[in-house]
Amino acid sequence: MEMTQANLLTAEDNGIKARLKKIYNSTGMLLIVFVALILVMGIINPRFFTIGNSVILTRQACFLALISMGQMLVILTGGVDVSLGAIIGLCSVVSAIVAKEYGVMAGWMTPILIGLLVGVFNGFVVAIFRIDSFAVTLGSMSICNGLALIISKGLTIYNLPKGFKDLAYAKVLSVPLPVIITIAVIVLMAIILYRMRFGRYIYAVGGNPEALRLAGVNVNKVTIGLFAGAGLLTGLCAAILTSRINSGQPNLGGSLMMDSIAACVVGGVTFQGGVGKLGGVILGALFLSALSNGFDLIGVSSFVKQVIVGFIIIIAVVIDKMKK
Amino acid sequence: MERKAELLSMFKVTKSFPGVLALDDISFELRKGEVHALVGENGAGKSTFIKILSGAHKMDTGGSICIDKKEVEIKSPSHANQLGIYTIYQEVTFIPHMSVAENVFLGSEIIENGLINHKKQIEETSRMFEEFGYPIDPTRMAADLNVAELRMINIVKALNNDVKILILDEPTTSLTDKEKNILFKNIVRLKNNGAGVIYISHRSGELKELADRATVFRNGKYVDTVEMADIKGLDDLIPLMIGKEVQNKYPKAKAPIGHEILRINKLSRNKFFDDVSFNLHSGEVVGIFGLVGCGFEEVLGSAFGVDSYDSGEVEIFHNNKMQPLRKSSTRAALDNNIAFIPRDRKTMGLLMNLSVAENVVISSYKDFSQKIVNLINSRKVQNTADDYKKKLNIKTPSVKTIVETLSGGNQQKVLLARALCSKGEVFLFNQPTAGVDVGAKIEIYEFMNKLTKAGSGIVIVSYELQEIMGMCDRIVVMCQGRVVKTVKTEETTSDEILAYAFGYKN
Ligand SMILES: Nc1ncnc2c1ncn2[C@@H]1O[C@H](COP(=O)(O)OP(=O)(O)OP(=O)(O)O)[C@@H](O)[C@H]1O
Ligand SMILES: [Mg+2]
Repeated sequence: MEMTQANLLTAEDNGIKARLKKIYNSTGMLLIVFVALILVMGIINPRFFTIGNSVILTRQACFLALISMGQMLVILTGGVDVSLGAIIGLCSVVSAIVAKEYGVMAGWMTPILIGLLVGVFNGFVVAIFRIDSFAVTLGSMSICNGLALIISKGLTIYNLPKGFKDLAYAKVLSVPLPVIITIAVIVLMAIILYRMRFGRYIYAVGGNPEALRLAGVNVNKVTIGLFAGAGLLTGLCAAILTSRINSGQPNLGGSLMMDSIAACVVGGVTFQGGVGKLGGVILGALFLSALSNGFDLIGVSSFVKQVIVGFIIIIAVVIDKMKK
Repeated sequence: MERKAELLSMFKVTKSFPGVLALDDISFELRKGEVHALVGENGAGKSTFIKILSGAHKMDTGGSICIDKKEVEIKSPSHANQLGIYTIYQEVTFIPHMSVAENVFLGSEIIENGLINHKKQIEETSRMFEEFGYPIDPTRMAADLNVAELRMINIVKALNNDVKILILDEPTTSLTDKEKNILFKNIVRLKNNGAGVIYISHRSGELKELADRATVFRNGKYVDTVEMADIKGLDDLIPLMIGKEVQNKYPKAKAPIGHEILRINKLSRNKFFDDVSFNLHSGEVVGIFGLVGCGFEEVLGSAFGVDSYDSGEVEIFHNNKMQPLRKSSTRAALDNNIAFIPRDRKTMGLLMNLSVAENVVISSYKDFSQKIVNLINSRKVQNTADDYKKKLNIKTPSVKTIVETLSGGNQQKVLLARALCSKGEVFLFNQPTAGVDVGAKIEIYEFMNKLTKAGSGIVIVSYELQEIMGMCDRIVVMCQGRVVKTVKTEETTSDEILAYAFGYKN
């Protein structure tokens, strides 16, 4: 009797400890650094904690989270997709033009479709010709960039129909729509990655593609699918971004592609493939957004900011590595 | 004895790779309820043959495959599975960062409402291993398992199906008797249920125990099929396999034993081995024997500096006295003339995407470079590699061929050539003859004789007790991370060594 009680106690103790340990293991030092960062920022400039700022912050984080989840799919297989930023620019100008011609709804949907198509194209070339994803997406980056500039003649497209910016600004129960969309996508991604075959196969491709093939799985389909997913998420991100600035811009992608890689790397997705958790990537995206926002608020110049962010990325990865 | 019904027949199967005719017009037949052994030299085409059957390779046009007298075209691994053909490949295949359960169910997940039911997969895996007779925690990560456990995953995964034809390609590599017996029990069960089993192995003992018939391949050609009942043992087949008689499978030549050249002193590494001490003299071969997981492979790795260790010392004879060797530095080991053959040729040993020649000289490039600008003398590299190709009978179109395309046993020979090429005095060999055919094994043993005669010392880690008994002067037995016995070979017996290894005696 006493024995069982003691066992129960230790079991419970183990439970809490184990859970803390699990959180620590899955997110690593990142969570601790993240919390510390928020506190420091908040102490230096209390405006960091205002509701207004947190809305701005989450909205920024949404864009990065969406594209990072796409990037994550590719990095999980040991590759990288450098075309995602250019896809955003292409999607944005097409979205603006379509919105002017065919209305708001079409303007929101087309970028998603375009993202998907470019993704399928990337995946197809990578899978069928067995070419490195870096080379292929480098090509599509240039193609998308060029197309965006041709279509827009290099100019920003203004005067979009009324209501176009609702996608970015509408609120449901006082929560911004982009946040709701992002959360929905995160939930969906979690289900796909952990509970559906396709998701598990993505991890398996990164771990040992030959083993997957011998297990009777069509590896090409998986590869095409995951690039399509990356494109789709990027298209979605582009739709919301375009709506937010209420204009079509060929260079809208900016540094988002690089940031998406950073979010993955900081979030514990390794370039060897097969390793990395969704939670880590989301936290990575939040972390980088908070960092950028916080530095703006405490008045660090954007040049200095770049240097510091660079160091933080390297430190985060080194700490993560040392833990193992 | 009544003749069992025919299950599979293959006619005129041919397969060519660029520059190599791997299979030349081979015909083969498998009956229901039989274990059919496939034997032959390294590079004879055994693995290629079964890969055609398993859907991993496509055969050249002109051949045909019939199952239950119906002609089939095997299009892919999953198609082979649909036909009831399941394969355990020569190299273990697994996804490192997935659990045992996920690896077992890879490609055939338990899906409910479109979602994977992980809980059920874990329970099922548990049950399967339980039934198989080799319990294992299904939530462990594959990356944390040892080779024997990984092999067992591959095997259990295949057996979890409606198996009509089971193919095993050297499945007992890095398994000890314990695992082997479990495997054989399951194979016999399958066979009694009417399945056909194709079994590739270089170990005559186990073939005698298991096989009903044996087919011999040589140089991609069919040689003969014999009933095992009609021959004394597999050794009768050796002339068919290699084209010459073999007098002695373990041609040990004693060399004069000299001074101490390696001393492992109270070496410990947490979780792997504890307080391990032994030494090696010039001219001596020391064998370490134990069961899977006894830690002897790790001892060798730590001694060479592949891994670190927590306490103790490795000492090496240098400048006329024993001196400590720098910890976890493979460079220091090489500079002190230690040569090493690692455990897993695929992940730890060979640079799969480089040529045979580069793999042979990679750790001794210094000897192949000019003194001043360090340019590599490629002629010398080529000649040396050619030399080893001839000496060890490495079957490859040329030494410029990429190592990945070589047969398993020939890859092992390349690894050995590398160790021999670095001018070592102390050789640490982890399973030097894994997957190597009888003829080549003897070549390797002869080579070892030459090394000891020249004053070098060799440590061999092996799961093959016969090899240890046949080739070593002294034997160190390990059990659960500790040395339990060190004995001269002529003063012991196989049974005694086994008793120590199993921990019955200490
Ligand atoms: N993918 C490939 N590309 C080119 N050549 C290959 C390829 N696979 C096998 N070969 C060649 O085909 C021949 C037969 O190889 P295979 O692997 O079938 O031999 P094996 O009988 O299984 O030998 P082992 O006992 O060493 O495993 C070898 O000469 C090998 O070099
Ligand atoms: Mg083979």
